Amino acid sequence: MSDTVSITCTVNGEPVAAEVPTSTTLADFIREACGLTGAKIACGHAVCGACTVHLDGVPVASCSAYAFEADGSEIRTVEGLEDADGELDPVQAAFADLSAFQCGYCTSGMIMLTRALLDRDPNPSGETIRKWLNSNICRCTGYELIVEAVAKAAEAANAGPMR
Amino acid sequence: MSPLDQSPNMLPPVRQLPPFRLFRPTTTAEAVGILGSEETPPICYAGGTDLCLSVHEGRSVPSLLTLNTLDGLRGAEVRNGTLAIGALATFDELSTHDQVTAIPGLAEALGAIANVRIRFRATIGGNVIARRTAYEVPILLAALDARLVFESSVGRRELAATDIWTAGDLDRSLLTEIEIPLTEGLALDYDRTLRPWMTQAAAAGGIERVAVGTRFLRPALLSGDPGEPAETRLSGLPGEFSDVLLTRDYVTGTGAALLKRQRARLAKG
Repeated sequence: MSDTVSITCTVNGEPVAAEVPTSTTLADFIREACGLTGAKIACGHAVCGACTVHLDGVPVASCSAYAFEADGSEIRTVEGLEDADGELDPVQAAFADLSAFQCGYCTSGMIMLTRALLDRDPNPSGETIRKWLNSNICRCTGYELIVEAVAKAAEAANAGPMR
Repeated sequence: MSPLDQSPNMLPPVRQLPPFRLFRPTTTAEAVGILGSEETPPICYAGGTDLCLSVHEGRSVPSLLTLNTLDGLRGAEVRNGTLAIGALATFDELSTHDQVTAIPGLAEALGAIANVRIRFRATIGGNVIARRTAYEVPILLAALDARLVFESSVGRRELAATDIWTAGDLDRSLLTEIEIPLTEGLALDYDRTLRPWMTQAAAAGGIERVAVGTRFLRPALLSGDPGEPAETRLSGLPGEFSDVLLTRDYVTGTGAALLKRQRARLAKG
């Protein structure tokens, strides 16, 4: 039995085929094989959420999933949110407008978590926003600006076409 | 060479975990066959949240059997007077599953464990089979008098949820289903404190069943007449029920306070 595994998937809509060691995490696959470093690795065991990406539309901690799970799947990272013209996703735009970050290390995970929330609930209540953001950790901002950014993103997304 | 490369504080690259043999069965029978036939049974992998944590704690993974390629063991259904839950059902799936409403309070409890991101991935079976005292599901299942169904190459085996701690080596068995008997008026309430860490599940309907867990102690199950004072129920804790963070007196007092709240919520429905 081989120590490597073939992966064929799409990453931000682009087809990707790779052969990686079986023990490769999804985070390492995305960052090293795909060269997409937006997802950050911090805690390494699914607690902080800095490495959050979407796997078939579900937000996952990519540090705690194996790359082989992506075979046949669709991966979406923070690099894939802006549109073809370079226009930011409403979530990215809201985080930027409100400066809802300081060091920025958690930001891509926060944005991907928020994108997943708004994909499921375009009009989340404040309580729902807080419940979701409870999944990810920010050690700088105190969360208030992040909560505001999520609410602003929801407003903006509802004012224009949803992605 | 950049300044960072010259820094004495620069860490060497994180070590890549050694590759493992990977099994990807598509049926339960195939998975059970692999667990039974390999000289060293592979470690089962579903949501990954506990396995990745245990790897960080030093567990080696020579071979892995992913359960995510199986076509079953998900969902929940009421049948023959029980609620049968597939071991691979995620917390998110169960917290909104219409069949889970057969036990009022259960979906709410499962939707309050961990966080949204983890609930999308973590499975109810993984929470049980990890056999970590800090995890919640074994406590809920103890209160609900649940049974665990395992399949192995030698056949089917059932285990009371309360016996998961003493069942010995289960590495060659696959937890496939959790069965909860639907007794008249069965309802669940789940409560906890985090500093210090204590989890309590109370099941109403006939005899009251209260399961009490801490971060380091195997859950204790206390049952009796629901009309008895909460303090009387908690006084049934084993004499040695204390750990490095909690005294027995603390658990008894806090547990009684939690149980009063739980009874009030259960009475409201």
